[in-house]
Amino acid sequence: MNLLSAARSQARRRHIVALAVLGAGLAGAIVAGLLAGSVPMGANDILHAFAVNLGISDDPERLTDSVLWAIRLPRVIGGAMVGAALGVTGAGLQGMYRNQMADPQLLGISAAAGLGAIAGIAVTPVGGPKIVSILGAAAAAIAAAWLMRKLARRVGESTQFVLVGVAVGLALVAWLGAIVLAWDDPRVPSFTFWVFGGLTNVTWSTLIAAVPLAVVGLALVWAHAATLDLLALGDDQARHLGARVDRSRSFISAGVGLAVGAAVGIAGVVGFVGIVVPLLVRRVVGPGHSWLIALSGLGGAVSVVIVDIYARTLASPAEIPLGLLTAAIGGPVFVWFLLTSGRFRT
Amino acid sequence: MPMAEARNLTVIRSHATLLDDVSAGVGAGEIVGVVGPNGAGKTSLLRALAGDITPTSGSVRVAGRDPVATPLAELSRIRAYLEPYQPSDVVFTVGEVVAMGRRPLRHTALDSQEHDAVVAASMADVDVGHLAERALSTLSTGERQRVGLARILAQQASVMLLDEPTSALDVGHQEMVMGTLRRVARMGVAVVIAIHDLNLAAAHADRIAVLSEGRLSADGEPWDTLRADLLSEVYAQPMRVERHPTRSCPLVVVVD
Repeated sequence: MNLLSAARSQARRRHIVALAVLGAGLAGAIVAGLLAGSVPMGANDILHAFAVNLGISDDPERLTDSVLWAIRLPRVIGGAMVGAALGVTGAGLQGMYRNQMADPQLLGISAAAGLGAIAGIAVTPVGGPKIVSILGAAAAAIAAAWLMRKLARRVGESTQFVLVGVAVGLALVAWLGAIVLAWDDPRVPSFTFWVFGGLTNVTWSTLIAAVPLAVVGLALVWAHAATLDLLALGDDQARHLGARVDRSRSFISAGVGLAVGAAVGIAGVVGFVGIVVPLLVRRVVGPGHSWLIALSGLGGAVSVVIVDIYARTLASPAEIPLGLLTAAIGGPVFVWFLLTSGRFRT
Repeated sequence: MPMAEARNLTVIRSHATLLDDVSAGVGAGEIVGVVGPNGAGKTSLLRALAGDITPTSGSVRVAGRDPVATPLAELSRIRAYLEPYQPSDVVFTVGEVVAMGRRPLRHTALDSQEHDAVVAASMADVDVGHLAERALSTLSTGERQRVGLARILAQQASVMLLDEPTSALDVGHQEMVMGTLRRVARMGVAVVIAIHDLNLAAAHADRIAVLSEGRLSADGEPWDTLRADLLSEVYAQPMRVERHPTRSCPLVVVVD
C-alpha cells in the first residue's frame, strides 16, 4: 500500500515538474516569438502594443504595435494551436491504435485535411470567410480519420496499417499537388505551403475560425484518456473493464479530425510534431494518457512556436517553410528514439 | 441459484457450431473447471458468459441478467474475465495495470487508500507485489499472466471467468493461484476456469464440465466426470484415472 502511494506521489511529482517546465517553456517561447523578427522589438514594445490595442493606454500607436498585434501575436498563437493540435492528436492516435508510429501525417489525415481546405477555398467567393476552408479541412480530416479506422479493422493495428496510411497520405498529397499546380488561383496557397506548412497566412480571422474547432477536438481526445489507458491491454480486456471501446474510438477520431483540420487549415501540413512530441513526453512522464495527452499538447505548442522563430529568422528576409524545419529536426530525433527505445521505460 | 449460467446455449459463427445446446452453471462459492480438447468450445462458453458473444439460441444469465444487454460499465462490476495471453508491449507498470482492475469501481465510496489496499493485496495474492514498479513489457509470460490475475482479483467481481489462468505458470505458482481462487470462492465468488491441466482441475475444482466438439459431455464432481473411458474418447488419447496419493482427488495419467 505504501509502495503504491509512494509510486503515485513520485509520478505526480514528475508530472508537475514536466507541467511547470513546459508551461514556463511555452511562456518563454511566446515572448521570444513576439520579440523575434525583422522589426526589432523590446519587452516594453510588447507591453506598449498590448496596452494600446487593448485600449488601456491612449499613447499614439507605433509601428511596433501593429507589427506585434496584426502579425506576430496571431502567428504565435497560431503556432501554439497547431503544435498543441498535432501533439495531442499524435498521442491520441498512438494510444487508440496501440502503435507508437501513428500520427496525423503518417496516417494521411493531414493530407486529407489539405485537400478539404482547398475544396473549401474553391467554394468560397473572393474575400469570403476563411472558416469555409477550415471547415472543409476539418470535414475531410474527420472523413480520413474515419476511413483509417475502417482500414485498421481490416489490416490490424500493425506497422502494415501505418504503411497503408503513408500510402493513402502520399496519394492524397499527389492529388493535392496536381490540383494546386493546375489551378492557378491567387487565393490558393502554393504547393510548398500545403506540403511543408507554415504560419505565414495566420491572421485573427483564421484564428477565430480555427481555435474553437481545435479546442473542441482536443477536448474530445483528452476526455477519452482513461479508455486509452485500458486499451493498452487490448480491446477485449478494455471492454471487460467496462470501456466502450468503439464509442471512444469514434469520439477520438472525430476529435482528431477537428483538431487536425483546424491545424492544417491555417498552417498546412506540419510533419513530425505529432509523432515525436508524444514519444518524448511518454519517455518522461510514462504512458498514462491523461498526462501524456495534456503534456504532449503543451510540448507540441512549445516546439512549434520555437521552430517557427527559426523558420522566419534563419534565412531572413526569406522564410523557411515550417514543416521543412520540423522534419529536419524531427526526423533524426525519431530515429534516435527508435534506436534507444527499450533502454528506457518508454 | 447459479451466479452464472448457460441454458441450451448454442453459438454458431460463420457456419461453425462453436457451442451446441450447452447447459451449465456455476454457483456462488463454487469453482467450476471447464476442460476439453482444443476447439471444444471452452473459450466460447466463457466469452458467452462474459457477454462478448451473442447466443445464436438459448440464453445466458450472469447474476440474473443477460450480459449482452447489460451496459458494459455495470457488467464490469459483475463479472471479470481473464484472457489467456497478456500483451507483452504494455509499458504501464504492474501496479498501474493491476489498478486498472479498480476502474469499474471508481465511483464507489472508497478513497484511494482503500483502492490501494485492494490492489496491493491482489498483487500479494499471486506473488507480483515485488514487481509493482516494473513495466509489464519487461516481465516473463508467466509473470504477466499473474499480473493479469492480480488485476482480475482487484476487480472484485462476483463472477470470475478465467481462460487458462495457469497455462504459463510454474507448478508452485499454479498451486498458489488455485489456492487464492479457493479463498476467493469461499468469499462467495463464482469462479469458472477453462483449463487444459486435468490434474489441476481435479485437485481444485468443485465441479468439472467436459466439453467436446461444442457439446457438454459430462458435468459434475471430479470423480464423476474425470472417467478414463470418457477422457480417452474425448481426447482420443488413452488415459487412466488413479487416486491421488495424498489428495483425495482423481489423478489422470496418460498411458500408451
